[in-house]
Amino acid sequence: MINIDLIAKNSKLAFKVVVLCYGNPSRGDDALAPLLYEHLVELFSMREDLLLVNDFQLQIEHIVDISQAELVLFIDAHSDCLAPFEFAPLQISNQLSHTSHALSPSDLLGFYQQSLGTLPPPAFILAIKGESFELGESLSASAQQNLTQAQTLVFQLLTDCQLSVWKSFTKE
Amino acid sequence: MSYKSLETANSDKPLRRIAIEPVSRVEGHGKVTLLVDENNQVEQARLHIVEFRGFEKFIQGRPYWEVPTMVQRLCGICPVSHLLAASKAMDEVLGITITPTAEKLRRLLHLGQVMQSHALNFFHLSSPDLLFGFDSDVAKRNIIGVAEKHPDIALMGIGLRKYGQQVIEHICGKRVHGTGSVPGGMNKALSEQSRQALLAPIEQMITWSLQAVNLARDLYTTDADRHQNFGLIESQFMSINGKNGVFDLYHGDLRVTDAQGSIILDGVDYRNYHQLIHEQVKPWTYMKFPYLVAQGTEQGWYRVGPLARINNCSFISTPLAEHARLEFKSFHGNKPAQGTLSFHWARMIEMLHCVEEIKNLLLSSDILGTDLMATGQRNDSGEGVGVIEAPRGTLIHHYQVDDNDLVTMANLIVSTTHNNQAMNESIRQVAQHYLNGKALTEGLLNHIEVAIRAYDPCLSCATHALGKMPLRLELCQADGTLIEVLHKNSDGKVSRLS
Repeated sequence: MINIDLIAKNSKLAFKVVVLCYGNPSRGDDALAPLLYEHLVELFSMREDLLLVNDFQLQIEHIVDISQAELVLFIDAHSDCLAPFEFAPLQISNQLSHTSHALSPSDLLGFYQQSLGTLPPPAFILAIKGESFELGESLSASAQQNLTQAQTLVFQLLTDCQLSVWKSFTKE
Repeated sequence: MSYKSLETANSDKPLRRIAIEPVSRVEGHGKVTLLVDENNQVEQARLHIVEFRGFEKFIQGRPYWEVPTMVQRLCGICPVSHLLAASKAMDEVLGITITPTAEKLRRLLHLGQVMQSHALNFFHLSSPDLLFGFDSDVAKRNIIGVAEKHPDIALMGIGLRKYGQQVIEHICGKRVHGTGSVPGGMNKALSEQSRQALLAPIEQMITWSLQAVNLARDLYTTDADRHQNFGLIESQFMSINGKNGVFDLYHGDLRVTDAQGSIILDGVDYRNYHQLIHEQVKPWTYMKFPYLVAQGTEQGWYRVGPLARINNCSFISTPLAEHARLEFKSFHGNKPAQGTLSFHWARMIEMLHCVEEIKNLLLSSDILGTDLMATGQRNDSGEGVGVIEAPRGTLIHHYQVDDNDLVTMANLIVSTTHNNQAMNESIRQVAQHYLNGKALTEGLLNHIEVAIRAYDPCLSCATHALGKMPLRLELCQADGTLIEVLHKNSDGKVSRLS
């Protein structure tokens, strides 16, 4: 059996907490997560227990990033969540559909389970409310406000990386 | 044998149209149309490219230093290839020979790019067909299905692709659309930390690449007759090769071999490509048809990409890949492999070479050097040609820059475009051998797609051009009844067809 953890360890990807930000910085409020990523890099890049990842989309290769983690946080802009953001635990998808382009966080966790044969680490989604996602637009004023509030939550989460603490911030 | 007769139906019988749209598990958007008669005999088969873009036009008027980064946006899969081809072209405009360390970093970047692209094609896109069968359950015929049935193979593909992406990220800052290569050299040195991070898993990558070669070989040689004859066409092959015919993805001269393996052109300076290759436009697709000028449009087509490179080169510099090449060659009786599915075996041999060479470069003494930018004497013509062997084949970038540093002309011939005629020939062969006279099913139609996937076409890259493109405009009533058709030919002349 191939040991994907070995790649993660050898690539120095054995982090306790992984934050995966994804979105297209050129599409209006879809830049919310990439912008938050930039703030996080400024503040936390020296932390050795933390892996910060920024990408346009989630792809199956991201299972390598999270294979050693104890906690995973996905951050994305959403048009259909409540403002300023929603923070919730993720379920593992058991009905995987795949295109060559992108996966949802739940699909990624499902793929993790299917391919590695083990449960993925506990994962949460921070969905930040966005309104406009047109190509070439800058961040909307309301999204900027939502980003500021979401940032405060992420700082709290990264200050105390305990599953019970993260759960306490959800509505469940 | 040519399947040219299936390009355009020559029948006055009523024909039924079948479309495969979109072609799945390829990069970009294309479709295949088949015209069949009442007995399901295929009368016409065409691969159409339906995207329409305009890079060659909107680059014009931009400063030359923007171009390498800008043309990366042609593609999300092989942006590094465009970055490097454009950088090489602009080096020539500026009269610059880049420093040894800069060249090594560019080569390292390119090898990471080829590696991740090859892993994507073989494991993510093509292995479901090869492992499960061309007409297996369509719901399982994808990488998710591979992960379920063969998790080791899926994880091997993921690990190899991830590593290639990491090479790119360490050099360019991002996996996709970063910077790094600029006219005159490279803009960032490789750190010791990055070198160590990339060296740590390298032996694992070599082991997996060897296993990937064996897997591709075994899949091909099992039921060898069927696999060798699937999409079998006879073609010429074109690639660049280094000194003495060594396999080289980054730089070299053009070599063309005929279908029997005899070298018919060699040592051709790629800056003279326009004397060697012209492009034909056809009214039913946005992708052009390149051909060797000396042989004309009917005989002058050829193939590029992994199969062409492995068939064409005299040797590979790294030992494991060279051993695999000799085995490949021996299996084919020391003649050029012509079967369309042999692309996959050749592709995995290339991936093995990439990993071996990545290791060599990371261990080289000056890879961490900081002498990255060179200067030169700008050439009087303002003209530059950069050619590279991209994952899918020979990639040509040609620019003209004026005295104000603005681009006045751009001509790009991308890998997939070179293979346009060959892909059409392959799908016609498959249509004739597998589809003729049969009631068409999804599984049978997937045979057509299997042939296309073997070429790993990047249809987004192939539709970069603007101008001289034929266009068909249909005016329909609300119920779909066709009222009028306007047709613009490649010469710009518009005619009314109904």
